[in-house]
Amino acid sequence: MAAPTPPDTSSGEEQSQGRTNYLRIWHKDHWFWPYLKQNKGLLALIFFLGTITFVCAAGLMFTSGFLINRSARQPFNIFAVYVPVVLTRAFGIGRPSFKYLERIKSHNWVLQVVSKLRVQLYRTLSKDAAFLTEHERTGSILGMLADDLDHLENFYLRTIFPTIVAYLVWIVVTISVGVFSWTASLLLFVLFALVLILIPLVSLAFSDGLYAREKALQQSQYTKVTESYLGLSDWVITHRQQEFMETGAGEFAAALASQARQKRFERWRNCVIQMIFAVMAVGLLVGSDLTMTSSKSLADYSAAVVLALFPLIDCFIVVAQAVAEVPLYTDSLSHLNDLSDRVESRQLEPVVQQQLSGPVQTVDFDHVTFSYGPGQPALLEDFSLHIKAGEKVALLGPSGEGKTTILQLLLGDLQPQSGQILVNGVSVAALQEQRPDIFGYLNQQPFLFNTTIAANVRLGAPEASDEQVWAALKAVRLGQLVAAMPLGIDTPVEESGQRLSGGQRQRLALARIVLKENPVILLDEPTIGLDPITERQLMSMVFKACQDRTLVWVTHHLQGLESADQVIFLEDGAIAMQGRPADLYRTNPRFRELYRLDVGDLSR
Amino acid sequence: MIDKSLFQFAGIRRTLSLLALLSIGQGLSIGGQASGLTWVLVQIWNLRGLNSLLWPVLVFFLSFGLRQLIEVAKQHVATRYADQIVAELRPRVQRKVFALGPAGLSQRGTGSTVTMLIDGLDEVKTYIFTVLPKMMDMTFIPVMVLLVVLTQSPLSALVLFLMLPLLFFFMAILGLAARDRSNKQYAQFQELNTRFVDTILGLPTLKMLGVNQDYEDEIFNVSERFRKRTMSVIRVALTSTFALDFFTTLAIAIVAVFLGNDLINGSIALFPAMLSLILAPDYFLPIRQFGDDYHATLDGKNALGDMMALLDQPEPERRNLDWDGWQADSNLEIQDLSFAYPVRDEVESAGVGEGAGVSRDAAGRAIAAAQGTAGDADAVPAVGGTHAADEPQVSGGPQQSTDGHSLVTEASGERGQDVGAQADVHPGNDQKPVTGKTGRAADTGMTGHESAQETIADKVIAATGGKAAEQQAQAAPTPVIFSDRDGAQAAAPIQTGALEGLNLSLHGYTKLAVIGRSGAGKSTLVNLLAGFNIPQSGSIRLDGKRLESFNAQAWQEHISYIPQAPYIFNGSIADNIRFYVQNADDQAVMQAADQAGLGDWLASLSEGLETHIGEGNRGISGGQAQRIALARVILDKSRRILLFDEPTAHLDIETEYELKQTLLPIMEDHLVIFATHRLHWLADVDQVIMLDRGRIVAQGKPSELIGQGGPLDQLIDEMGGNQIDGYRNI
Repeated sequence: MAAPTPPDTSSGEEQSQGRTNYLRIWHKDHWFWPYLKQNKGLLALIFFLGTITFVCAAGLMFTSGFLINRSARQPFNIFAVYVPVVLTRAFGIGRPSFKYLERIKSHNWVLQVVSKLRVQLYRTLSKDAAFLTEHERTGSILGMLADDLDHLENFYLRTIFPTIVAYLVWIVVTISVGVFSWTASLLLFVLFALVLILIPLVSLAFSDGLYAREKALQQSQYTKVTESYLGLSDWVITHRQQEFMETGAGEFAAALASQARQKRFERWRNCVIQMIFAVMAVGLLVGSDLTMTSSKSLADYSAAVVLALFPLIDCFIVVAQAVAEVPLYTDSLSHLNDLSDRVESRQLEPVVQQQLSGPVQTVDFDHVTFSYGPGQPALLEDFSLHIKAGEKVALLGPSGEGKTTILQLLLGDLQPQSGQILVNGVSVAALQEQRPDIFGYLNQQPFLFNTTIAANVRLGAPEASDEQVWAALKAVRLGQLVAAMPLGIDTPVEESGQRLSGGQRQRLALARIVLKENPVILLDEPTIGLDPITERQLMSMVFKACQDRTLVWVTHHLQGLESADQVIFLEDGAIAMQGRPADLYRTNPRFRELYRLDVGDLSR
Repeated sequence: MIDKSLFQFAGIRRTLSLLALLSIGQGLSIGGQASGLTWVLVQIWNLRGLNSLLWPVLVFFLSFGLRQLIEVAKQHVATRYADQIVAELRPRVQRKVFALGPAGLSQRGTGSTVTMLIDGLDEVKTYIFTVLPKMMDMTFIPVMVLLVVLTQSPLSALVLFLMLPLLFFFMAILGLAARDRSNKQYAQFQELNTRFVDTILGLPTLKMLGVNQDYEDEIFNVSERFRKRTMSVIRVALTSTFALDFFTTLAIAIVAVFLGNDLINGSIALFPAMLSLILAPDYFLPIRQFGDDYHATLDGKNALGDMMALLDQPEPERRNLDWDGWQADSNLEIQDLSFAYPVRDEVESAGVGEGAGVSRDAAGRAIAAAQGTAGDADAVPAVGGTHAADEPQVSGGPQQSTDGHSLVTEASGERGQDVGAQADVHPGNDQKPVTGKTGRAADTGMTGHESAQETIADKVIAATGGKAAEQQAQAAPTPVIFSDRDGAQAAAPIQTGALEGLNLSLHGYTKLAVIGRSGAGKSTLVNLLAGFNIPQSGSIRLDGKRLESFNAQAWQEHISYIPQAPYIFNGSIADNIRFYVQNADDQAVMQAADQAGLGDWLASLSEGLETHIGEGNRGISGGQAQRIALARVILDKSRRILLFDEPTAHLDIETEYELKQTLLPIMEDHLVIFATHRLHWLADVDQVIMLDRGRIVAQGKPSELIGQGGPLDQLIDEMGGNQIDGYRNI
């Protein structure tokens, strides 16, 4: 089993250490290429529309240049320039129209891909339960992955599409000029190659690592400033204003300087590209003078050819920047691909699933040893625990003692190196399909969806009736509160349940469990951060609501412990103290002391 | 377009004049370039030989080059100036944050202030270096081009000139329509996008409940609906770009056809005709670019506005005080002290404005995205994407009105960037809700995104009519937290965490515990004593000297302030311990660390005191962080006043127990003020005050108060007390 080291999505270290090996990132890609292969018809249409837009732009200047020149010959009547007049109008209308269509289609295509990418991200994440449990508290990594998808959108729109269109236009230009003069075509081809190949590669080489470095600087500034803001009180009472002001200033200045360097490069690069076009224009002028002055009718085309060049600048100048930004997106892409790889590598061999025949009778840890990978300290060593149905077990121990690990093992999200975890004698690995029905889970920060109260409660039991939802709410004593809301159970809870206090959020999450009627309830320090009164209310509610169910409760406080049947203190991966709370209180002075401390028993 | 606040920066006029000059120079070079080109083309048209092209080609090439060089110079000037402004703004903002102190900061929201400082400055920079040169271009270049065309072909000039109002008209009409439409759709728009992030974040829960499969389709459906909404907004925005584009190209086509006609009639020569045609696109270019960037830079404009609002906030006064520190015979008399969190006038409007601002800005982005020419601002509107990601950080709302310092970091101690996400409203109803009744009233307006806040504020005020409620509503404009403790609070509508008529007398090395329910004002009192909160009224006498507030340097130099999550910064453990006394030698640091109970831990680290910590508090447990804070206190012998704000609330019981053993000896020979929920501390203090809704309801020695049936007993009772002792007979 791979060690669940958190993915270091925040730092761009690999980039800053040297040139990114793009091939390595693009190799075995699951998030980019597969989508370029989808919906090829629409994609081709987009590229066609993009190309035709610039053909029209060039065509407009071409025909109008010709129109002016031909008209200046003062032909007998307007019909002599009828075709260029019509074409001028056609190109004039065509350019904005095709551009409009191209944009509509490309945005639509990209958003379609995004829909699929979102599903893919969701599916990938849901395959890896352990990853989720590790990161659900921070949530930041999940949010960051969602952001990475947004970056991919821009990758298509800002880099891929313009670049491909530019290359297509390049081909069109080369061919159409080549029809008339192969030498001119070849010369133009070489000059365009500078703009479309050499300069973009130089830009890429220049920007490679810079974006990553700037991002790292930004990140470091973020960390430092956030730290200093959180510690502002200490800065204030030490009166170190100057130093406080300078926190992160180094990073800020460095990022500023780096960006300034980048901007300077971009300015001069664009200037060089423009000058290449100037050279092309001069070349075309000289060329037309050399080849087209043999007759008046031929000379009329000279302006057309030269003027048609200028609209193409818009098409070609963006390529260099588009390519330079590749590292920006590669970063996001590599996060997503890393995720895929990690999830893939952690997939276990499928276990034949079984169904429990009757109600849960026993839960057993049978000589379980667990560590996160070889070389890591064992969090549990030969740990055995027998829990009977309906029993309430409290797990205690200093942080980092694998209390949460026990819950993850019990859920089957983690697998022990040796030993077994059994429900009614059946391994939990074989009960994964039935798992949501067996286990209910309440953690430190319950997640409430940004929807109505009813939908949140009903999450685990979608078919539950309104009456059942109300009953569940009453069981956690939220009934009155919700009834007092004008929309009742249809009141939205708002993002992350901000409308509710911490205790209320926990109770709402508890209502889910009440409604779902799972026989085994796992509690992972649900009262952390709550004040003692709320804590006590919540726990008594939990015990009341789960009267007939089995309860495994990881806790950091002893308050409420008296309602448990068994208390287990973990120390160094093994059980240090175990027993009924009242017994322990009587026989174990250490337990008594801690308990009295926790409940604020002041009698001596 | 341009922010008036920009004019207060030094050098703005100089920069603008410089940019104006450069724009004029560019206008001239555009003329030169076009004339040179036309000249060459006319020569070729006249079938002249190669040597006749030398001068015209040279004019063209040099003008073209000059134009590009001026462009480089212009961007250089603008970028440098933008850099200069942000480099000037950063220390100003930082200074202000320092001056406003922790109370001011938490009222504004720590997360959003960090975002403002870092991302905001970035946006301001982009705004300045984009807008300034484009504005100058638009002011000068079209006029210059038009003048040149006027001398060559008045008819073409007329066409171009007439096209302008048409252009603006359509830009305005369609731009407004797009904005209006996207504003209307913003709520749905936002909701659909956040639904995705929401579902991803809630995936562990869904999986636990076994419904993650069902939500896979949901994700797709929501995304598809999001796509359709986005497309409908984009379509409108694109139509406006289309109109812009259409009239521009149409104008060129019309000019070309008119010129052709005139040429056939012989009413115009080739040179002026060709020159007019070549100049036509350059006439429109600055206007179009200006239009494109207008929306793209809205973020920066808003960020600048935010910063200016912060910089304009009044600062608490700091008085000088001649005082040598707390001694065994020192005295502090506090009489009739009252404090309420300030009503910030701008909060309400800012709250509402912010909502509107965000949506404007979202609309802007959608439009900018669609309008971007040549990939300039080409992006799918990441409207919700980025905002959703921001939101947890900016969730300062609930913190704002709670006890000044309610940023609670998780026990795991991971801080860093996700402060906001983890920072929680001290969940146990610390945020004393708008009373039950008003909570309900407020709820009626919860449908719209923007209107909601207004409605809440209005209705709350209407419902209670009391000033306190008004303050509450304004201090926390966003979330209304429902109260389920009805009745009791409705009777006394006092602001959460406010203090009223506080009398307190402290003498020598007293140890005082401050207890009470959540939101009773414990933290407010500690913040007041630390000088972060400034009392509205009351008198303070410190060793016979009168004080207006505790925001006095001499006082603050003698206090240590230890909150729930003490300040641990990125650096070595030694540096962290040295925070109060920076010149302390290694031996003293080691001694302090030992005394704070860090010895065993340090011994287990290969680099000992030089071990690097911080960076999101990695590798440090809550107990260790507290011990580092204690080592700081031990090291600085001059700080004889210890202010604790719930130092053990997050720790598990064993860690708390061990920390207490370390803490008790340190508390000797200090004036200790200890705000806590944990009643066991009462056994170790000399005095206790119990706060209830901002007033002292019990005061005295713990032994004299406990068991008297007073409010303290009632509190102990509510907390449960020793339940097992009651089971002894089982």
